[in-house]
Amino acid sequence: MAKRFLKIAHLFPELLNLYGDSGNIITLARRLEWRGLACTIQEVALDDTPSFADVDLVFIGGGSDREQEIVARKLQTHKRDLQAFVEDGGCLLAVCGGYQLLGHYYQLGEDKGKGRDMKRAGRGESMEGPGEKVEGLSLVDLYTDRGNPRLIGNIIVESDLTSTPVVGYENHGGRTHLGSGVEPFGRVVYGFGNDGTSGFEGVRYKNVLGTYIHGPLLPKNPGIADWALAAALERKYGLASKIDDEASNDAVLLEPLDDSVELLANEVMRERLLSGRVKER
Amino acid sequence: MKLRSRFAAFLGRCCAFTLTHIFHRNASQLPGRVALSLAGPTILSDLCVQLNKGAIMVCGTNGKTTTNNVLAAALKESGASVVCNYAGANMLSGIVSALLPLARSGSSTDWAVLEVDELSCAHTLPQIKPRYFVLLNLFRDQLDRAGEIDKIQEVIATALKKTPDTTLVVCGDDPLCMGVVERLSAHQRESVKTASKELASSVVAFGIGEETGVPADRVPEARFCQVCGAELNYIYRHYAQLGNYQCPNGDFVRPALNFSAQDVVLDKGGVDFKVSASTGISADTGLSTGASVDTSFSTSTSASVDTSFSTSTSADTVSSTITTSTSAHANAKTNSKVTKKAPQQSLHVPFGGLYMVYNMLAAYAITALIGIPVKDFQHAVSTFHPDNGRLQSFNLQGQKVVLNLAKNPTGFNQNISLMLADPRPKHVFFVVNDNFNDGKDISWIWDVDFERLTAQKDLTIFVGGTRANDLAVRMKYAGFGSVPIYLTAAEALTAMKDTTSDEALTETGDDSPENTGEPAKQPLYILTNYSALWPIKAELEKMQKHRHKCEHHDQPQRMQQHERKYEHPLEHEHQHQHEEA
Repeated sequence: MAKRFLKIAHLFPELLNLYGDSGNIITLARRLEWRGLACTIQEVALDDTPSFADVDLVFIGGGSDREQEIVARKLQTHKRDLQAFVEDGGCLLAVCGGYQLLGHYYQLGEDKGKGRDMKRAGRGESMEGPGEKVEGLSLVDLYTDRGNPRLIGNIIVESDLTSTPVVGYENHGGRTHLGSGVEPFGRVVYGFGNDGTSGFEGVRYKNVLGTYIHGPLLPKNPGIADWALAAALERKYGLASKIDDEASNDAVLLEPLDDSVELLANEVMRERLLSGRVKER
Repeated sequence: MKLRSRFAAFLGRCCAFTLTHIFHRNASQLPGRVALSLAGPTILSDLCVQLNKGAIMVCGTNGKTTTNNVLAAALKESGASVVCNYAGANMLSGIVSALLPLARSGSSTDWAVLEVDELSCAHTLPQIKPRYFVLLNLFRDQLDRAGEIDKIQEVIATALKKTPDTTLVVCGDDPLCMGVVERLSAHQRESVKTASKELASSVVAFGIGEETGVPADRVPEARFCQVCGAELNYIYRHYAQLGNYQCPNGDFVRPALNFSAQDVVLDKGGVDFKVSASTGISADTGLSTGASVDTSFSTSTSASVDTSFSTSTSADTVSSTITTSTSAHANAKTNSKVTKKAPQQSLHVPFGGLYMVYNMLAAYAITALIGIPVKDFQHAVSTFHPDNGRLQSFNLQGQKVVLNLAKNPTGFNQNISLMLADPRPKHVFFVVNDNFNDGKDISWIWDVDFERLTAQKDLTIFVGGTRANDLAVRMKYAGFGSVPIYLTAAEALTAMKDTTSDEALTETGDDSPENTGEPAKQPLYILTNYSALWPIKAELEKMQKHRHKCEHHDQPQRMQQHERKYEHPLEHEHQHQHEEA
């Protein structure tokens, strides 16, 4: 059998790289490499014309409002391609700003909009007023409005995707509201989540995972990384590509790895948070 | 001085005396807090009017403390009297604490040299009204506290608008610093139109004026035009977003450099470079105020040229102005009118890497502007011994330890460059805490190019800090396998003895003349972020004092790496935290 490989597209890393998002890509690449699988990483730049036809996994991270807005406008021209990718079961990981872009729209903060008009801001003209709504990609039935204060701090959620609770950090002014047809990524155990009140965090739709959790998301939550890789491998090679795992005596898409370093970091952080040893403010 | 401020300052000083002499504690915060609670922030201006010459403030994400302390040392070298927040307490109460001695009756102090936290500019700058304000760089740092860089730029620009007599000494190589100047220029153009008397500060730009040949790292910052948002083109880039840039749409280019470094040579012994200063910047005799510096500096920061404004502003204001021009070409023309090339000054800095060129260039620029002889500056630099954990060296019985602060991707990447420049086998102890002052979000460790270190042979990595386990994951994914976690520098040092074989000890070839026949030991580099710096520094200082204790230190329990959970002995104690929350 030819060596299995995945093509990963990292959308606009030059713009959306606010919260160590490159760590997610490093994690995906290493976890394939350690299993003897190959991958290519395509860094999509703003003036590229990306095609998602031969892409197996798409990652989009978070940026400042200003940079996110540039991306939102750029992606409008690729909305159909992305929609086709998602509907076909393509795996899309979207973090922070990338998560907000998945929905119908997101709302900017009150003082925002100066990114597009630095001169106006520089002249000290008032930028007050209700935040502008930026059109999203409508890939998933959700929308994001604005709330005060920003929701900042460590976060733990329990998700069906992995047996170990997911731990990370969130920092968002947006409040994301899910439509009726989509499910959340997880239930908040510690922290705020989508809107600070619903008790839910993130979104899952087909093989799309949207979340506010960075930290980055994948290194300390290897179960999520493997869920994404398995989803992409299954779509590309089918379940027939499963291999026998000696340990579990089961057919699996991904050979298990020794994740003790990752899982210990996850556990240490959860323990610190749940025992109240970390002051968030 | 107002009675209220005088009384508040008196109580603050009593507090400082008690802390220092009775409790032997750090007095860099509390005295200021006491005085502030009684007199409010106007105590800053009340204290600063006591200065014979004025205040100089140093701001920027990285390099504040070193730049500030070298500058203070150079001023002292020239015979001036100086107050300074040497220890780096750079928020409001730290700055007040540093200024309290000015309230002593009969005191006569020439300069206050103050480093200031970026966001604290909002409260301190308009009160202090410094003669010079240095803006070193703006990197991503502590996002959860500081917010986006846009916000920091706005805070600094807003503060500077309130101090029109301040000369801004700015890193021209940093588009994000020049973004602050762009905001000021826009404001100035507006002020001229509306006949407002308020004027933006005058601007002096410094930078490295040629390619250095040092390989640049990744760009962790957005490198975008501060006017139109287009991605900047770089003619050359030194590191991070610092370099010679221009906007493809022609509305934002690196300004002409008033102080330009050339012939930069880096080696293990520090950095050498030459400085060309564009004259037209007349040395200030120190008798006059900043407003009378007789010059016009050209900074090409904006497309919208208003040729009339640079002359039309002079009626009732300062004679220094910002001249703007559309293109590098026009800029050069403007420049040739007002500038003459002065002879180059050679400077030797016995510490640091490429980033240190910027810090020292900024400090030199200030000394040149106020007319301090270059020999005084060079002497201050040559005899500067950092003792604040910034590139501080320790010698523990022939064991060399270098401690440095690294609190964001650019800082870490520069430290990695520094280590790569030292070919000796070495151990590295990375320590990251997530206390409030560190920034609670440590996701930036994934933006550090640790992968570059895999190219170095004979490098052993240890990790520590409240986020030691996160660092261990980062190291695993960078290609270092499982790295051990240690709680303290002493543990790391003991572990080094275990991991360094006898052969490795003899082949390290340290050519230091101080070597006393003992086999040379591998150096240990300790890089820590903010709150971990102080306990480790204290620990190393104690070890240096009581060398023998080191020898009899108990072996740390060397647990299996996966079993090791980091429990920092100081996680709950905040007495060593240096900054106010």
